Amino acid sequence: MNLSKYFALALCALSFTACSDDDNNDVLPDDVPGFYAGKTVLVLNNGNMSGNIPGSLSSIDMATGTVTNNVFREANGRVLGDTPQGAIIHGSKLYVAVTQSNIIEVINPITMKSIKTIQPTGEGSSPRSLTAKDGYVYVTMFDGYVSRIDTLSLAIDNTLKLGPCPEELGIVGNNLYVAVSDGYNTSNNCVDGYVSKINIPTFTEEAKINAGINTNKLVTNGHDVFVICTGNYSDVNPTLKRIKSDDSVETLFEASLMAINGNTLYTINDPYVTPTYWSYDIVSGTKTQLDLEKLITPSAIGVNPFTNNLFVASYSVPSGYREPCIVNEYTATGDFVDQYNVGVGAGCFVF
Amino acid sequence: MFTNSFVIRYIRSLSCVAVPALTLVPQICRAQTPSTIELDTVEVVQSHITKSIKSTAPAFKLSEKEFNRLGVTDISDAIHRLPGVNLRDYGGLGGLKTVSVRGLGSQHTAVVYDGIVLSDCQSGEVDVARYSLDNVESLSMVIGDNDDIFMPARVAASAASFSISSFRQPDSTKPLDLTTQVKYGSFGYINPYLRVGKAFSEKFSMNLIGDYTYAENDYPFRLKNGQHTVTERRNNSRMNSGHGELNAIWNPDSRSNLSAKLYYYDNDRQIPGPAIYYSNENHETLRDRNFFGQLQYRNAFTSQWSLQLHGKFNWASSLYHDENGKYPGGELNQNYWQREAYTSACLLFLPTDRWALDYSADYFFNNFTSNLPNETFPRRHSVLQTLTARYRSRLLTASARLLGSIYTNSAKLGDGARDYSRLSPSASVSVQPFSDEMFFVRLSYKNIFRMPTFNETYFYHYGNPDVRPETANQFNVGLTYRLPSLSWLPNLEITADAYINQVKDKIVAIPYNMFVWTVVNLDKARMIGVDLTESATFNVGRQQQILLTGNYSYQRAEPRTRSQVTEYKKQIAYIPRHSGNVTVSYENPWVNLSVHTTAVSGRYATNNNNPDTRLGGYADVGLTAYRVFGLKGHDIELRGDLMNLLNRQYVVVARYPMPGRSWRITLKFTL
Repeated sequence: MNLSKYFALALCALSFTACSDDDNNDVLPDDVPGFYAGKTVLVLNNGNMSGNIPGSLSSIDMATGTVTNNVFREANGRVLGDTPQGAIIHGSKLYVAVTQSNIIEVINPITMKSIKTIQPTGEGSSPRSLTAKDGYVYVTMFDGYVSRIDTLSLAIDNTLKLGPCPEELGIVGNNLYVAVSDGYNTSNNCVDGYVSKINIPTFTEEAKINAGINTNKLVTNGHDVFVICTGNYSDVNPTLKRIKSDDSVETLFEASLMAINGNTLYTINDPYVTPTYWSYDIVSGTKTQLDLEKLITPSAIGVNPFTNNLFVASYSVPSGYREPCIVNEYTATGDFVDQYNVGVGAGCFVF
Repeated sequence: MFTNSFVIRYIRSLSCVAVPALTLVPQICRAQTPSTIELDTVEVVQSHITKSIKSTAPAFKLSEKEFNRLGVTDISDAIHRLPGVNLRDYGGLGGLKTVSVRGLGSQHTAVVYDGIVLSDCQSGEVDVARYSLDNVESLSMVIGDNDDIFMPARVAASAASFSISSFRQPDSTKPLDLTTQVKYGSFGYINPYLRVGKAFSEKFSMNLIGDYTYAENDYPFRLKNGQHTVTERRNNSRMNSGHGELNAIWNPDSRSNLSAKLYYYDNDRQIPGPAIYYSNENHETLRDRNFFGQLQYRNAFTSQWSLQLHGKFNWASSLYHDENGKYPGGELNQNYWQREAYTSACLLFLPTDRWALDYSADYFFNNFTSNLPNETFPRRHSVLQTLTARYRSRLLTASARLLGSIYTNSAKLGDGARDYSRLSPSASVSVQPFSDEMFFVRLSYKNIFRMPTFNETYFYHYGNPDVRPETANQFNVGLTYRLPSLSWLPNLEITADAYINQVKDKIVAIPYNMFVWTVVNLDKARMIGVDLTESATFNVGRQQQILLTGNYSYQRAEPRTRSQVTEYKKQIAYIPRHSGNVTVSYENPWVNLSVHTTAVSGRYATNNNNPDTRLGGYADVGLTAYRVFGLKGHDIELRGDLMNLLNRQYVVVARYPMPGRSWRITLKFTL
């Protein structure tokens, strides 16, 4: 495919706007708010490709409670792409994995301008989810790989082959854990799925941990690893499990979405019935049910580590998968704080 | 067939020159010998008025003469010349094209091929792209009930019917009726075609048709991205398709007729997929094959009684393939097969010269298999019966029909869907209030339903065996007028129809939970609209005519389910408020020209009309020039077409861009 024409155009647009500002990159364009850790929350919206809605970024200013939607499009004059599914901040940059468009956008979080658009050319395509440590960003490729991006050159410098459909990933010490779901194989109970334990310095796979059917979600607080095995959509329901340091797997309880903050894990259980919301203390093992109001169908959950507040994204109307979503903010004990109107298909948060 | 008699006087050539557009072209034209009377102008004098003026429900026809004169390039262009029709077009020669009438959805349109309804029990819709106009003698569209009541029950079992009549009967005056044609055009397109037929005796004839199409389909398109516009080429878009037909017709005596057909179609194509931002790779392919054999028998036993018998066997396979590491084994193969056995018997009784009664009974069996895990192998027995009465006097035509439908469903593994039996009435009337004016007022009502498709009922983690049929009530009121023939304006016809359709139990797919979708009867919908058509022929000189034809549709199609608050009373996705076509043709002895424009207003890709999903309106202008040369008594026709002259980039379905400016040359030789 020929994207060189496109990149030339984008580069021209970029250089033109850079010339028109001062050389100081911290100068904000008038209409696009920047991201400041602790003061801003970003929401990554998946969009809805068949509904002709590309993905987007929404920026919530925590001081005033105002939401600015489409910040990437406003800053760059072009859309983020189709079905972005992962976003993280590492160093001073924002990385977004745009799955269907097969690109990783590297963005200046203060100006929201694209620094570089990484297009995988070797093995691996359809970037799905990101994590980072020590100047390297690790991105899962949905067609069966995990790639490493060198943040100095902003290029992929190593790729490791995994099983089919790697999804979320996380780092504990020198180990990178990747949930390889084999999610297209539910009729065979996702038999080729596992959790991959990768040694970071050597970037080789050390162990394959069998956690359960369709292991696609993974979170870590730096020392504990939790996964959700989403099941086969018929007789096996989504279940939360913990992967211990000796690679053994402990089954906890049923859950379909989760977010972690220190020693507290928040979960949503919503397979077929009315969703229930839980707060789980990792150390003591106690579960507390939360009564979260004003939610319709939850689609994502996150915890703001600066305030310990809970953020839950939901459809704004029943079956509203092509409607803009809402994001509700709650205290750690479940009291409603505020509601924000974001884009279509709110999928994850950046704090 | 059993229509009123008609008289035509015309001059000189074997073909009917200057027949008004959108009219019934008589079969008799092609076999006539030249008249000895020479006149400067062509005059059409007839007591049988064109179908579209006199019919009780909106009915329109395009014959193969019009394909040249109106510059019709392919079947989707032909559909744009008919009012009230929405064509869903995925772009390019290989792109899927389905026909929906008056906002009802493509599953409510029956596509009829030489008298028998085509079936697709899997998706419920027919891809009309596979029917090339080269082999089509006429196309007609009826919205509601056809005034020709002597038809199988299944033709009446849909809200609208779109009929394709192919060339079955060779010219009996020729020792060998041979037509050969080749088309060549943009984006690596080549299409040779051959039709050869022979009348072996007065009673028996056969013909054989074969054609092949190859197209690269790698047309450039422009994708708007924020402030930028990117130019890409359609990738993974090549198409390879072929088709063959064998027809045999036997007339044992002047009252009876037996015809047989064998048909085979094979299409191997790459699918480019939707246009995705920043990515142009796709590896999907689709191989479609269709075989059928049909047998039809007609006999007018007495002057009052006539019988029709039909039988058909249909087999279709669809093999879908994609390659990606996300699939187990690195690739996905989804193979589908369906079969149908169909029979129909129709009995026509004409007790007086004003009354006609018809009883038709159809039985058909469908089954479906696939290689998908969790396949339940559904099958269905269907019995349809219609009882129709028609009264026709000089100033009034009225007909009433009752359709009785019985559908019994079962599945080899798992639960079958529920069975349904329904009675569906319909009635229509056309009145000529002033006996000396060709002015008609028409009124029609039709209650009809469509069964859920096998996908909607059985598809794993999507289908719902409890989903009910979707019902539609259609009301139409119309005025039609034909101006008496003038020497400079031999033909002017206009039709105006206003309608309201109410749909209940509309079948939609909704997310069941975060992971699984399901099909439910959720919605109600209402469509209100106006369809206008006009066709005029002007004599502007010796052997020169200007034809001006056009149609305009206003459609207000609203979801009407109160619980779906964001959609309530918005415009249903993909239905434009305004659409139409205008064609100007200049027929003359040197080069025949026509300019034709199809224009469609803006639409939304979603029912909630989210402004971000708006698809812009567009006008697609085409130019056609053609000429028929005589060579030693044979005809050579040369035609050139320029499509999308203004190179407007537009989409019909979101993310499926249509080709920009392109050209095509056709060379046809008729023995």
